[in-house]
Amino acid sequence: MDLRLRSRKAESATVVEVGGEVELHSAGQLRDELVRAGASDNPCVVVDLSRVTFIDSTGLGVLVGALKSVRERGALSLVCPQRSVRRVLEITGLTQVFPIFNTLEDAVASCIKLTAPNGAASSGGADGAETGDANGATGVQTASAKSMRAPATGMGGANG
Amino acid sequence: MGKTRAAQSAVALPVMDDAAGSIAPRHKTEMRGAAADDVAAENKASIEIHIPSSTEYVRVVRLAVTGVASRMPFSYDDVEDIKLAVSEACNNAILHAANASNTPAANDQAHPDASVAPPTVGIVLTPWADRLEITVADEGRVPPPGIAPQASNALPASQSAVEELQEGGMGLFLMQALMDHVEHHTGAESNTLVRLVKYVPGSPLARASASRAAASDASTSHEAASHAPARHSQ
Repeated sequence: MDLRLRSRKAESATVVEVGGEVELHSAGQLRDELVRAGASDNPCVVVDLSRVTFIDSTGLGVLVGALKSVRERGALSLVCPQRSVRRVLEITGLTQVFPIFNTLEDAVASCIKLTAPNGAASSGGADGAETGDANGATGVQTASAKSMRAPATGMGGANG
Repeated sequence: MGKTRAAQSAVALPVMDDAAGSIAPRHKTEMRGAAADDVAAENKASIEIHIPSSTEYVRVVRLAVTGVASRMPFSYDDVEDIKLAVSEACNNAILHAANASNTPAANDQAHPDASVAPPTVGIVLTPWADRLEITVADEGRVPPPGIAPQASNALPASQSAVEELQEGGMGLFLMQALMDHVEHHTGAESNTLVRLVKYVPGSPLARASASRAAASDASTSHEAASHAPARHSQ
């Protein structure tokens, strides 16, 4: 099955829907799509892996590369409800690095939380983030740096 | 498209030995033990696939592997593990052949004859009563630059954040984590062969393999962590 990609905006996040097989042959397409998503105005990128049937180490590498480039100014999270892909993330220790959600709604909601001014979480947070750009951006940097650092430091223990 | 053939093997192991023999002599009794030799006679067929050394054909191998493994007493997770491990082995074989063709030495030997056969990757699947054995070999003849394998579909080798992750290392890590046994051989012409073994649940060696893994858990996980991408993200 070929790789299928579709990007759209949802609240304060850019959602990249990925379907099919993410492998060496197709990983470059995903990387290009994620670069585009990371370059958009939205500080949050949600990669929806719900319809991914297979992912190899190259695909995982692309996701980590995107995380590295996005997290300086925003956040990247994964939607990964199905077991096969989740297992690969667990085996490689990447569940400690990515925020992973079972539903797209949860992932987008966490973005709203991140982008809400003063870190306030509410359903109206998205509107606030869009209008209050400067405050929103500051909040994102702090929140994302914190959320990325916390699981990563705990990971040494988890692996050892 | 690669050719696929199922070889009925009246004589035990002809196809597998053929594939392994040119690169690395195999020691048949090694690792299997007496109990496994008993089931050796139950092997009915090996399936041999040759694909062009190009990333677009790895999915063909996955389909074949899924077909073979699904007919064995593996769990759904086991089949997924085998699919991924074999894909990683194929990726490495394809990238290895591509790298070989990009070395200065290879370019110096630029062959004027464009009809030189491009490299292929050979995969042999051998189902046994207690295990599935898979060998993946890059049958890399160094091609002239004009018909180099499709490394262009792979990620560019430089100036990429992804490159820092040492993808090859992650692929190797995954193979070792997903399979019961992984062997690497490098031949005289720098061809490589990877042999992957997955025991069916409940086989004596599957248990032995599992307990070995548990016994060496500390060192294994330490080694694993050094390959794990998470470490590199810091």
